[in-house]
Amino acid sequence: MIVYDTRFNANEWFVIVGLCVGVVLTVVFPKRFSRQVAAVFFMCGVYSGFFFDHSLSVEPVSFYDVNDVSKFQMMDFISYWMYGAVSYFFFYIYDRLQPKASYIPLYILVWSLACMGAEWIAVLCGVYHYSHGYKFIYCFPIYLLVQSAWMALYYTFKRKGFV
Amino acid sequence: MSIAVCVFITWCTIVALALIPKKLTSLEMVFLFFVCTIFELSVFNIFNLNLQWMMVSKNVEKSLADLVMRLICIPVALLMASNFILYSSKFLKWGLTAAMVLLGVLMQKTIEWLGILSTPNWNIGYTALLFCSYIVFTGLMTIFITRLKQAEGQLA
Repeated sequence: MIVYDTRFNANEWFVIVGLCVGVVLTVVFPKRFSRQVAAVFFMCGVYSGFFFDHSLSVEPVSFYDVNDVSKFQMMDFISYWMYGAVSYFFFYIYDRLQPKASYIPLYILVWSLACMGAEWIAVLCGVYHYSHGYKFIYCFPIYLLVQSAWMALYYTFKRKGFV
Repeated sequence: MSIAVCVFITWCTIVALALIPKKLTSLEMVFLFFVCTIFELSVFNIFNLNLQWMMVSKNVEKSLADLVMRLICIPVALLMASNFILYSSKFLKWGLTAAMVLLGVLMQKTIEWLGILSTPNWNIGYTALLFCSYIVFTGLMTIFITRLKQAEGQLA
């Protein structure tokens, strides 16, 4: 087991503040979706976080660890819930703006860059610890891929009349 | 070999999900797929990383096969269970749910037999209990997501 830090400091505060701000904004903003759709859109982010963290940060090559130790901690579990508000507002703003289809790649690019910015701050706070040659910049194609999948999901729901 | 077997089992599970009569909408199924994966991964991580009761092989092929099972096969199987829970016939509901627990135990035995997972401090009873807990969680989440729609309908 690798121990990076043993104190309650920047990484824990980043997770708690990030989660609280995200949840408050999700609740405070005017509703655009039904409760079921909002729940799915929120869970998209949480699921994506779990999916990639549990496929890239597991043996045989663990490319990164989350928070203080390489074991699974309560704070790791809480940190994945931060992504929920990100996915919710990804869908929320898209639904609000209703841009032309030709602007979808640009919309995804802007969101991916914003997520990279947030991840960079998270790395500075000690939330992520990269290893085995993994670099911060490798997250960029993952964000593009994930958000493209979210967009496909949005249009699937729209076609079925859920949105 | 292990990856081929796991992908085949996973594909059979997807085929089964596609064929069964469904009681949930696609929106509800997407939600349940997400929450089942999150719950199952979290529980497995505690047993694997923290308690070390289950150890995943460090071989690349076998660890990929484990990911296929953890990220696709088990959540899809739990989605099937969530549909079974909503069947009106009690015999079908409980019979099929019990069959899902049995299939989960067999799935776990298969991945142990393939050398994907080693279980030094574990027995078959724990596996059955683990799959029962997954199904109880799935049932609770099914109630939650279906009630969410009903509650909204009442408010409107």
